[in-house]
Amino acid sequence: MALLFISAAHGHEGVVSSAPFKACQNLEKKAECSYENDHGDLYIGSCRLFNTQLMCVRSKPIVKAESLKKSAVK
Amino acid sequence: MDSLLKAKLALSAVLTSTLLLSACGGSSSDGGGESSDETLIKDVDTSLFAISSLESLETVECTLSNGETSTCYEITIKGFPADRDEVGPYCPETISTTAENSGKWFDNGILHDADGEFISNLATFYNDDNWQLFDANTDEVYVTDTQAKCEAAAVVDVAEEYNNYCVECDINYYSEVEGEGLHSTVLIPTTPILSSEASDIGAGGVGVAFNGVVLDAAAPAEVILEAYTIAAFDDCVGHVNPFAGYHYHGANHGDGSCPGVDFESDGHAGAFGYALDGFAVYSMLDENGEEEDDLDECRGHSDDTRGYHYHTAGPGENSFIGCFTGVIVQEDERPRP
Repeated sequence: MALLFISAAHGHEGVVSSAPFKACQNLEKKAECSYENDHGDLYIGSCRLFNTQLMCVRSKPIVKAESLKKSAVK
Repeated sequence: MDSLLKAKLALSAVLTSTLLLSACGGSSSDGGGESSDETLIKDVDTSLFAISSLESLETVECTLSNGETSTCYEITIKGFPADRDEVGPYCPETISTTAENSGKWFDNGILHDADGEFISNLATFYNDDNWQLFDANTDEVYVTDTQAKCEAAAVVDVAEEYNNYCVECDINYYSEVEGEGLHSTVLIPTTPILSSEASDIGAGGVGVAFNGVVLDAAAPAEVILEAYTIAAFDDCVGHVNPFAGYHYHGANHGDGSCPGVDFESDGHAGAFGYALDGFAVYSMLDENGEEEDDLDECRGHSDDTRGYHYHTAGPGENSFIGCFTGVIVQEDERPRP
């Protein structure tokens, strides 16, 4: 989980945000991916192709920031 | 083991069982195998579609992506949600316009109120001072408020003069009939067939809702943002473009002016449409606000009551499902959007 947390894409870092797309940059189709929303909640899924673009589609329930913090403390 | 794999193994067991029975002279009507099959595969139920949403519904012969000839429902929708009297609003008129009179925009998994305050705060939100979607003297939001402006801005290659616009198109640009929009046709297998490999979602979109609205593929959010535009949605995460008419990019039932979807009698999320492979698409959460924890990469799983089915992603995730677990109509037979 720690690795996922570190590698998760973050939005709002430049001109373009859209973290679900950014999360699959440099990844292959079907690769596991993750990104965070503005509240720090974690979205975990896999890279899927929409037309010609890879996008991270969540398949696990959203991991709330609160529970991530608790995991980190433990 | 993920549910897709379980589904495929179960199906494989059914096929093997049927073949063995045939080889041994057993009857194909002999119970076990077929009942297992029935727990996974449910015929498309066209009675779930709102009659008023349909221009036509026919059963036709079709060729599926696995090369098999089959029967499909050819469904032509009127392009206007049957459960609503009006669509929109989308863009706020000024930076003082409230959420009630504005639409939505999604980013990083969250569906935001695209109200006046949100528009006025975009430079901070996207950490880029080039965002300026309103006239600082009048507080009016730059909106594509004519058909010509809509068609110049609601495209992948946005005309530069429409950078820094809130983009919206009126549903009436594409229909002369009140209460209708752009008609479009989808082909769905009458009985879904699990595919050996999940397939991608292409230009044909994801499926169709029971209220007669197309479930579209992911919006090209990066392209939209690169042009400093917001392609605002209404409360149902729907908007209009010249190619697809009124269509959805997410499911937001029960929020604001968007009608809800009833839960099933066992508390399971309610269905609101069919994917193009004929498997039903259900809401994200059950009546307890819980999400399924065994979804496959396409966001599907199976249970004894519903067979294999999908659950939509959240309203701000720019997607319904991730891929098609079942076969869809062969590409050269698909209606063009």
